[in-house]
Amino acid sequence: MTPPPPQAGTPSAPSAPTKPISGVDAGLYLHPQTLSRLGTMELRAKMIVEGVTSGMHRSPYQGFSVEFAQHRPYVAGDDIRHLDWKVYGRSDKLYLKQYEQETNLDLVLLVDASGSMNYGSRSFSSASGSGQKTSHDGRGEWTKYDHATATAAALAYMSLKQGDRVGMGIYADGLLDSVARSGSQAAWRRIVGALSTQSVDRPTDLGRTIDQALAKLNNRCLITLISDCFEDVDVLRSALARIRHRRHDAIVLQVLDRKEVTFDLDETAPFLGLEGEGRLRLDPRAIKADYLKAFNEHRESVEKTVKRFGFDYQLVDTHTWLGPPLATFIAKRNALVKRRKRS
Amino acid sequence: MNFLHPGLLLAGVLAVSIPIIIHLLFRQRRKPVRWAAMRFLIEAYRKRRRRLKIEHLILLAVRCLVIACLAFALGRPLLDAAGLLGSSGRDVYVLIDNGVASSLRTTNGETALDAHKRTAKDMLEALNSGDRAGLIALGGPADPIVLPASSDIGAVTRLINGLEATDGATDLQGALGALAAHLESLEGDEDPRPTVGLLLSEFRTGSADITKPLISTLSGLEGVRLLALQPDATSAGNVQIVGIEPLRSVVLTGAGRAAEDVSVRVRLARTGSAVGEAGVTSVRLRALDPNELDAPGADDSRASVRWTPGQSDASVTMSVRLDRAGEAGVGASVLVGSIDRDALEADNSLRTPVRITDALEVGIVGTRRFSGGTSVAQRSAADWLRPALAPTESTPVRITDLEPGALDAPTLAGLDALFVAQPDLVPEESWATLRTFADDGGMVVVTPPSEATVHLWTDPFLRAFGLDWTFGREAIDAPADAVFTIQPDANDGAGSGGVLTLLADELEPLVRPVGVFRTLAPDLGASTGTTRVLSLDNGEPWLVATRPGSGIRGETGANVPSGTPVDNQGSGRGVLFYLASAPTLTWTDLPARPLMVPLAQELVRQGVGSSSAGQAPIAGSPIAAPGGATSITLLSSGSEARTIDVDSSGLVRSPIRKAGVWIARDRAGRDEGVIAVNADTNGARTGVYDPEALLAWIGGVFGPAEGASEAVTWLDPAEPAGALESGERGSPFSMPLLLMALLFAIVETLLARWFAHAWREPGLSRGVIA
Repeated sequence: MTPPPPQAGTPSAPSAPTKPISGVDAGLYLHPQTLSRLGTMELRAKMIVEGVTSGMHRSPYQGFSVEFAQHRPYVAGDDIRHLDWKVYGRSDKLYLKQYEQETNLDLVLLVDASGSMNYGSRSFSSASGSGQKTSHDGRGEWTKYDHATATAAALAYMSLKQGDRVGMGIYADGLLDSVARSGSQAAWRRIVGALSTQSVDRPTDLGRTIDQALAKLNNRCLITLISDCFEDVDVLRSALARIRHRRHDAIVLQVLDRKEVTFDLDETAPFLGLEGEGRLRLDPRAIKADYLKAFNEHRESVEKTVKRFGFDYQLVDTHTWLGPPLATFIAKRNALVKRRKRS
Repeated sequence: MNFLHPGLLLAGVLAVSIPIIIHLLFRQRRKPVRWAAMRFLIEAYRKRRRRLKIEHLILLAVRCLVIACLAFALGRPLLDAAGLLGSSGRDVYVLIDNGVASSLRTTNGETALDAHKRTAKDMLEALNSGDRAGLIALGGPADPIVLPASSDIGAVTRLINGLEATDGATDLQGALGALAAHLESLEGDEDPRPTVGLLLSEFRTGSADITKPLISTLSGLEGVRLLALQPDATSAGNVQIVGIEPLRSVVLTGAGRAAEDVSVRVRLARTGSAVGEAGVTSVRLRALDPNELDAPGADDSRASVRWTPGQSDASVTMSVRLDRAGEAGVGASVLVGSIDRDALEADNSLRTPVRITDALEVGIVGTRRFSGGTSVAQRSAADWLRPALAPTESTPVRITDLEPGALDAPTLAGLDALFVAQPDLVPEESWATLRTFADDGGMVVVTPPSEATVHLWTDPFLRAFGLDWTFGREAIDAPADAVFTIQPDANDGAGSGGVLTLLADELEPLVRPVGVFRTLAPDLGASTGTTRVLSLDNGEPWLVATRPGSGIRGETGANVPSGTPVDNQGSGRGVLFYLASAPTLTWTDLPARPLMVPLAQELVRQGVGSSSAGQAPIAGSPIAAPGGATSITLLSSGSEARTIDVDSSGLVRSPIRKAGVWIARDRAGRDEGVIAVNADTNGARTGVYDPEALLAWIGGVFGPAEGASEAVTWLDPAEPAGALESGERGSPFSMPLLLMALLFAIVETLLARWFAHAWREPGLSRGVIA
C-alpha cells in the first residue's frame, strides 16, 4: 500500500516547521532524524486485526472480496452465488468459495505517565527535535516521558502515513486521558498535544488501566504499551494476558534512561522516589551490584513475559535517537509478519 | 595518666567530633537525587542495609581513632604516673622567694625575684618528660600555688612568670611545712617518686633568720633532695622606716575641731652594707585623708637624719598638722612617712592611721548617791574618777554614769571606754555584755569595789574575760603604820610604746608620793598575755593591762593588732586594765595625789587609742578588723577596688601580702576604721650570711640527725639547671601514637575505598543498553 501524500499539518520534510498544538510545538518530539528513518517503514499487524476500512492488513472477516481464502462444503441455506462451479464440475460436490478481506490497522498507543517516567539524565536540548533548551514547562532534562511521547508521535505518524487509524491513552493509576482513534493525518498532533500537557507524577496501576482501555476497544487492535515497566512482572503478565484474551496484538516498548541502566553514580546522597517511595540516603557505589542485578533481572523478566505471550518487546534508551531502534524493530517485525503470511 | 600538654589533648579530643559533625552536616545539606527506579534501589539497600551500617560505624570509629591518636600524641602522655611503666619521673617543687627582700634591685636594675624566676624557668626546662613540678611562693605567708605537683610544666612556668614580690617577710618555715605536710599525705602511695625541692632565695638577713632554728619537718621531708641557690655574698645597703609613732594614737580636737599639730616619732633603721657608712637620710611626713591618699603633699613635714658609721638605728621627732584629715568622714587620718629611694623600695615608706575625734565617751559604772555624802572620806570611786577624767569643762572627755544593773549593748554602744568602779554590783550576765564591748574595741578599766569585804565578783569577771588570773577573796591591807608604794614596771617602760609613755619623764616623781593601803592584786601566775603597768613595792601588780580572752588557750594570738601600745595577746580587740586598789581614800591616797589626773587621762587616751585606733599591721600577718566590720576595702586610686570579707572571729579572711591602706566597713557600708598594712621591715633586712652557717640552718629542717644538712646542696651559680638535667626529654609515647595515627589513617583510606565499593567489577557497569 502506498503511503498517503503529505497533508497539511504533517511534517513532510525534516526541516518543516510544525504548528503548535495546545501551546506545545509537536516538532519538539518528532525529530527529523526519526522521521527520515521511519518515513519508508510500514507497521504491519502481526496478528489479524479488525479494520473498518479496506487496508493493507489481514482481516478476520472472510468474505467475497479480492483474495481467495478457502473452500467449505455447501449447506442448505447458503447463497448459491458463491458456489464454485468448477469444483462441482470436476468432483460433483458443492463447495462454496470463501475470500480473505484486507483491512486497515487500528494502532492504540498506551503511554505511561506515572511519576517514574518523569526522570531523565539527558539534556532536553540534545534530544528535542528543534534543539530547544528546555521543555515548555521549563525542564532542562529529557525525561523518559518525553522519550515516550516522541516514540508515540513517531509510531502515530508512521501509522497515519500508511492509512491506519491511531488512538492513544495516557495512563498512570488509571486511564488519565485518551485520544480517539482516527485516521486523520493530524491525529498525531493531537496525540502529542495530549501527551505534552499531561502531568507526570502519579503512581502506576497497569491492571486498572488495561481494563479501562480494553473496555473501549470493540475491534482487535495493535496495542502499543510505552512504559518503563517498573511495576511488578505479575501485574504486567496479568495485563498482557487480558490483551491476549481479547485477541489484540501488542508491542511493549520499555523506555529506560541510561543512568538507570548503568547506575554510574559516585557520591553518597539521599535518593528521592518519584512515586512516593520516600527518601533513602546511601552510597550508590556500595549497592551498585545489587541494584543492577535486581534491575536487570526485572528487565529480563519483563522481556520474557512479553515474548511468552507472543508479543513484541523493544528496549528504548532515552540517550539514543529514536529512529534507528524503532526502524530496526519495525523491520524485524514486518519480516516476521511476512514469514507468517507466507507460511 | 598525665599529659605534658593537657590543653592540646583537650583540643584534640574535641576534634574527634569533627568527623561526626562533618557527617551530620553533609547528611543535612546534600541535595536529594530524584530517582525513578527506586524500587530496585530499596531492594538492593535492604539486602545491604545491615552490612552498610556496620561498615559506616567501622569507618567512623577508625576516623575518630586517627584524630584521638593525634590528640594523645600532641598531649604527650606520661603513663608512668599511672604506674604502668614504673616510676621514672620526679616531683620538683620550686620554692621561690618573693618576700619583701626579693624586690631588692641589683646594680643592673634587675630585682632578686626576676633572677629567681629566670633560674626557675631554666630549671623547669631541664626537666624530663615524666617529671612534674610544684610551686610554692615564699612571700609571707607561704602560698602553695601548685601543690600537688603538676605535669603541666608550661602552666607552672606561666605562674612563675606572673609572680610579684610581696611586702611580707619570706616564710621559709611555712613553705617547708606545707611541702612536708603534702609529702606526708602522699606516703600511702605505692609508687613514690623522687622528690626535689628547689629553694630559690638570696637568703638575706631579712629572708632567713638563722638565729631561730627551723622547726624540723623530717617526717615529711625525708628523702627529699633540697637544692638551694647560694646566698648572695654582696651585702646591699638599705635604709628603712621601721616605725611612725604618734605620741597619741587618738587625737582629740575638742568641740571646735581645731587644727592640731601632732608630734610623731619616726624611727629609721639601716641594714646591710649601709651600716658601716656615714650618710644622710631625708624624711618626709604627711597626714593624709584615707580617701585622698594620692593628694599632693604640699604640707609635708621634712627632717633629716645623719648617720654615723656603725649606726643602725635612728629616730626623729616631727610635727604634722592634722587639720585637713580631721574633716574626713572616716574619723581618721593616715600618717605617711617616706625616705629617699634606695635599692629596696618597699620599706621606704610607712603608714600609720591616727584616730581623730572631738571627744571621748567614757562611762563610769557605779551606783549614784543621792544622800549627801559630800565629805572627802565618803566620796566613792566614781566621785573621784569623774573629776579626774574631766578636770575642766574643755577637756574633750564626756562622762556617762551607768547603773551596774542596767548594762546592755545599746547603752554601751556609743562609749569608747568604761570604768567599772563597783564590779560587785554587776549582774553575772552583764559581764558577758562587758566582754562583748571589749571585744568590739572598747577599753574597760576594772577596780575593786571599795566597800566590799569579800570579793566574789572576781569569778564571773575572770570567766567572762577569759583570764587565767586568780584573786583572793579578801583584799590585803598594808602593814600597820605602813603603806605600799608604787613603782613603774620595767615591762611597760616609758618610751617603749606603753600606756604611760607620755608620762615617762615625770612618772617617778608622780608615783613616789602615792600610798596604797589596801589592794586586791591578781595572781598572774604564768600568764603571758598580761602586762604590768605599775607594781607595788612588794612585787604585786597594781595596774595591769591585757586583752580580753588572753588566758584562754586557742584564743591567744589570734587577731592581735600589732604595733599597739599594749602588746598583750588575746582574741578581743579592746584593752582591759585592772587597777588593784579602788580609787578611794580607804584603799589609796591616789585620788589626792597629782598622779590621779594624768593617770586617768592617759589610761583613757592611750588605752582607747590602743584598742580602737586604726591599725598598722605588717603584710602577711593575720589582720583583725575593727569591731563591727564585715569587710575591708583597699583604698588606692591606682588599682581596682579590692574587698576582702571579715570572718566571724573578726579576722580578715585572706592574707594581705602587699602594703596598702584599707578601710573597714560594716554590713551597712559605714566606715569602721582604717587599716594601714605596711611592708615587713624585719623581712627587708639586706645583710648576708655565711654560706656554711646558712647550710646548717636549712639542714635543720631535716632534724638534728648527723648529716641532715647533707640533704641540702648548693646549686652551681653558673649552671643551676645542670643539677636537674638527665636523660632525654620528651614523651616516650608520642612517636608510637603518631605511628598509630598514621596506621589508622592508612586503614581508614583502605576501608573507605573498600566500603565504598569504588573499584570496578568486571562488567558491572555495563548495562543492557551500553
